[in-house]
Amino acid sequence: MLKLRQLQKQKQEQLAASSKPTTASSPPQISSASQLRLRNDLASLDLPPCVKIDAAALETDQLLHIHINPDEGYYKSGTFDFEAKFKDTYPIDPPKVTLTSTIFHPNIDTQGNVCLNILREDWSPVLDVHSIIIGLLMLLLEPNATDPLNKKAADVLQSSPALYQRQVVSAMRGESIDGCKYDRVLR
Amino acid sequence: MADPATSVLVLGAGGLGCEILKNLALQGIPTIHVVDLDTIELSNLNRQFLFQKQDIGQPKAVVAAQRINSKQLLGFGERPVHVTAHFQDLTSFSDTFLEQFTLVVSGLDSVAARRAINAQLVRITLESGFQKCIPLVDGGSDGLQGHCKVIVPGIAACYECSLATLPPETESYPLCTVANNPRLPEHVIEYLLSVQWMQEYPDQPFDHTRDEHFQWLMRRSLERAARFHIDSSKLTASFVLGVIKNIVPSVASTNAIVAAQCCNQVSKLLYNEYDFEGSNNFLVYNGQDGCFMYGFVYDRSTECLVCRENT
Repeated sequence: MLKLRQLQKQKQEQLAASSKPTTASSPPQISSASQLRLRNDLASLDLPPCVKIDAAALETDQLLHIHINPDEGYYKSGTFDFEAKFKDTYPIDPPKVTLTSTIFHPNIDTQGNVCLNILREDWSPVLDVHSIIIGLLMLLLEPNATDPLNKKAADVLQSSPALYQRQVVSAMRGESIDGCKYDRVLR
Repeated sequence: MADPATSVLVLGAGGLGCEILKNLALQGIPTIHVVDLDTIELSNLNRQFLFQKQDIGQPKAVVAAQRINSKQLLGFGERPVHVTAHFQDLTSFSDTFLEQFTLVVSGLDSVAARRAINAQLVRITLESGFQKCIPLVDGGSDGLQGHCKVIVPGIAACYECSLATLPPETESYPLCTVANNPRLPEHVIEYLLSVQWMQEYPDQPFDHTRDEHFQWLMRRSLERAARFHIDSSKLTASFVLGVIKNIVPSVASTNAIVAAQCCNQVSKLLYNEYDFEGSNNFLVYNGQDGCFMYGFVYDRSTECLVCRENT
């Protein structure tokens, strides 16, 4: 290991010669690699005004709350609280994202399961929290009736967008559609 | 001759670990430590050759160490080869413990464990201002494919630098397909585990080792397969278990080739044959199409959250 030791010597000399002595600014924090990545994700977020995040439970429970208030589209004026649960394997594995309220939506079922390609089969470690938020926002702005999770909502959206809009509004008011009671999400 | 004070830590005593331990011991490394938190199962015995039937249920690290020690091999400087076992989680090692080793070789099956040890070794180097530098040789084996990465903390690319090149650990299917248009038995199982179970039993996590949970899954899988006209002949207990545990076939020859590659790199490091500036630090092996091996230089990522130096 002689070669390595020589290389270490060189590095040590470089460090000593560099004008800035090794700054002890950042206290040695021991964090897992996934936590480091998450912190970095949050630090580089550039959120549109209709999205707020709450990272209070991130360090303790690896839980991130994402509040989306669409300012246009079918879901305008509603407040939608998504919960993203991260694992130690992030960003190899995506977080599990659920909607905490019931919604009338072709790609989100009434249990809050979200069908978004980048959260499952198209996930890649180069994606981050920002991509997830943009994906969720897109889902609310442009519900997609092809390959749906909630088939009833998809059928209505496909056959009559006007009726779909009325049903979405009544669901957001907390009314029932076809015997399913929805949560009130309008202020 | 290499330094008789050389000591190597081996992470994992499974398929790769057995091969690595055997190679290092035969190369005459006098001080070897091995860590593994698993116990021996019947299905390990075809390839994890340090274990026998009577060892089932015993800690892998302990039995592997005993087997090698019983050979009474002689290492560098006429020192006997001795393996010390650690039956524990590798993430609980202290810095002081790790600092006693010349280098670390890993034969792990989890990305999380690799990230943890990589982060710790890099931190040791950076915090000591390069007083300490413990290379990590990381082996990986998956079916007929494998890799070997030589990680020299602070000098060459670390494990985290290449994280974005990894495929997802578990195969996943679009939720809408799984929910409304399942076509494969895997889709059926995925739906039951990720949606149905939580609806029926919101308060308890699914545990495949509990018989009543597993029976529920088998029963519901057959019902759901029938409802969507999916061929249910594949839905046997071993198939279902394979899907939920995400089992990839482990191939003994892949393990042998990858472990040989890792130990080859160890020799180069120990005998000063390794070129830190120009050597191919990443090697991939593909046994799927013929027998193909390729090495290349993977550069450090300037954005790397683990090995970036804040100067």
